[in-house]
Amino acid sequence: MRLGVYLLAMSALAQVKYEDILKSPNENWLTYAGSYSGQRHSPLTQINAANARNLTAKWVYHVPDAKKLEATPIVYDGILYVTNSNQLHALDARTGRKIWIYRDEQAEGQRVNRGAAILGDKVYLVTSDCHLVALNRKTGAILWHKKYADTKEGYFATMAPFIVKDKVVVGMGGGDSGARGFLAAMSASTGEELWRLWTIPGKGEPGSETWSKEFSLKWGGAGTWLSGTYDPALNLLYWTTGNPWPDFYGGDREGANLYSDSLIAVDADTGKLKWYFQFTPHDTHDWDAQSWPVLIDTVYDGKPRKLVLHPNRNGFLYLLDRVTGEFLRATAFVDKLDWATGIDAKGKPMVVPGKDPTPGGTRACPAVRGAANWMSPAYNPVTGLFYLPTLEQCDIYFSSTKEPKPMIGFAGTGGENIPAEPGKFLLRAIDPRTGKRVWEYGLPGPATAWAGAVSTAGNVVFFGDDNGQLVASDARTGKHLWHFGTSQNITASPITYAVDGKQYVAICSASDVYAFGLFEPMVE
Amino acid sequence: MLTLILFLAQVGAPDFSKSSLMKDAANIDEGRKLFASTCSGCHGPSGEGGRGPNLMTGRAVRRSTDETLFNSVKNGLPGTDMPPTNLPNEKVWQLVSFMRALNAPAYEVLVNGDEAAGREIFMGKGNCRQCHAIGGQGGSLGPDLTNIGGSRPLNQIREAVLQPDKRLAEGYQPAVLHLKSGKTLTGVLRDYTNYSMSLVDNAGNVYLLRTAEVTDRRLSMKSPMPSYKETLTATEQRDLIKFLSRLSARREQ
Repeated sequence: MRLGVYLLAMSALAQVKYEDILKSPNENWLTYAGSYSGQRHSPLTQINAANARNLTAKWVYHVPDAKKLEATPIVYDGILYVTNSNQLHALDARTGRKIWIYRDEQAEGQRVNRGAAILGDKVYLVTSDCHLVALNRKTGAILWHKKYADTKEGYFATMAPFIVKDKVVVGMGGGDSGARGFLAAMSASTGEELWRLWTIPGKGEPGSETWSKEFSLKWGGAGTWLSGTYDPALNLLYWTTGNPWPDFYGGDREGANLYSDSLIAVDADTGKLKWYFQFTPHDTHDWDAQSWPVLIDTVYDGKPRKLVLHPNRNGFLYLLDRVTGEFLRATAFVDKLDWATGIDAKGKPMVVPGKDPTPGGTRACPAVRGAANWMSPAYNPVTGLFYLPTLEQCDIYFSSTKEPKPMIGFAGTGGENIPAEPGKFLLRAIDPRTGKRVWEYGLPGPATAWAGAVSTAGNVVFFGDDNGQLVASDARTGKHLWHFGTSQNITASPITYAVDGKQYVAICSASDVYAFGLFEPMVE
Repeated sequence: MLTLILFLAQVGAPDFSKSSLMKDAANIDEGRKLFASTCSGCHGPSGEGGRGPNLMTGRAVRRSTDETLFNSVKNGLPGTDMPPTNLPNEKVWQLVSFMRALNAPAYEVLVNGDEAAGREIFMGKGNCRQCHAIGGQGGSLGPDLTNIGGSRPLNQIREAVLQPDKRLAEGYQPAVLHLKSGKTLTGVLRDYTNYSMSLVDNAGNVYLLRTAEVTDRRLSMKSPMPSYKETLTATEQRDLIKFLSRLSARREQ
């Protein structure tokens, strides 16, 4: 009988509507960040701080060929969708059994892939060579392919496509080789391009005066390689941009280099830039702004405000008004930070001289990998805490004045680890209104993890550690509740979902997808 | 110095414009003969595999560079039963050409026939759309064909059209399931274990089931696809295969 109800439910719920995405996450996890706000906070409470120690593995799905899964799965109506490079796997979310696999073997390159998007009867992914692909979500049948950027111009793609109303928003990688950044929206039904916003202005456009050479307006970087967030009431997309190019030598691009290393607020209907905020003007340390903007509504300075929170690779946690872009505050969330003494009242870094890369090498902190990066933070609106995977590390930065050549991997050289000063990961719980660190959970290991976090109303934070383990800790205190070893480096972020009234937590390890749930004793 | 290196490289593995070599019918044919006499014992008469891996569908072959394939044939694969050969380099390249032709997606090789006529057969006389979809149009009981030319070698497409029962495509086993709820489902099994199964019906609905909830199941090992060996003329078969070979999801780009 229950099955009958389930089958009926399946046919009734066959279409994912925009309204469903507005309600995510619930039993479903419909976007890369779970919700448009990017909070990665689930209302599910079946697994909670009192019983998380009873978690057990429910299934493991091995992704053939996978070497480094970086995907966040999405879940709809009992089906889990996970991507690998040029592949999408649809699984029964209760059993981990495969329903279908899509493989694009004609794609050029084997880049990592961070996830799928879903709307209507379609699931979407981008291929390494910038094709947006729409598949029938139930059968995996190909509906269309749309090429939106050319590898011949240095572009590639790794991101989870982003659904907003009837559009799919896509970004690009390649900024480290000079490719000019853009954000594009395509029709979710046909793939037709509806708007494109360049993150490097054209000649004569506002912002072009922040680049000393015209060459940079064609080859300037500012990639858009991570998914963004969205405020439906304001109809604004919030997206972050990557570093200016060449990454480590700024002599050929004097100026602030807009709109690199920035948060841009974009009208979702027209693609017009509403406002921007640049975190690291004239960056020479490869500090892309790719940790996504988290939208929070809270009382700040005695007034309820619509805010956007952003932990930057440069080591500062920023709080802005998301209606106007007004800078409110920034606080260091790492101790290893020496390139600036702080952020001034206007939001500009107070830069310490002598920290730019040099041919002989300059020590600077944070490291190239950043104090934060694309691995997901989470925000629990009940505890009011922001759970941030954090890296304490410094690097030696080298530069070269060699003439920049695009599309050959030239970055003006780079950063190197300091063997005597190994990096250290921590999960930090921070009050975003004050920047105060409330608790932290040290993650000893080789500093090779790129693992994110998810928060639940059951007062649990799940996160990957630096030894391939998924960890559950108490959201209020950080106290350890449970862990599970995968024996593989984790370079992905966990999610939670429910099917048939049972809650699961899922995460990708390097080559497998794991799902956990509460132990169920045998009942006679 | 550079000249010398180039010269040595040529001695090691003569590069007589491999890209054209790969499509040169005479070299492929020479390779075919060599394959029959030296490789088929392990890899099967048509490269379908046996003691050695399947070379027709194996993705390892498709993903390998020409040089890797050349070196595998020339030097063998230590740690496996694949031996080295003392065939001259020219012959080894002919074998590589044949392997490429065997394994390359049909879209990338020359195929004879009338594509437009093949399309008409697909839509009309062949009634293929009843079970197969292209670009979201068609049934779901057979594999999606939107990218069949871009993903399958010509031999495999030909075999599927003329001898569909030889191999049942993975995830397309016909089944009729009776459920405890009284409902009957007819479709193909995407997955089947002792504990759970998933079925797709021809309308493209997917059903995720626990075995305990299925009272009776009838599974067939026979492909529901008819053979077109007798029902289409040789010309029609050729045209249909030509049409299928041109189906590539990336074609319009």
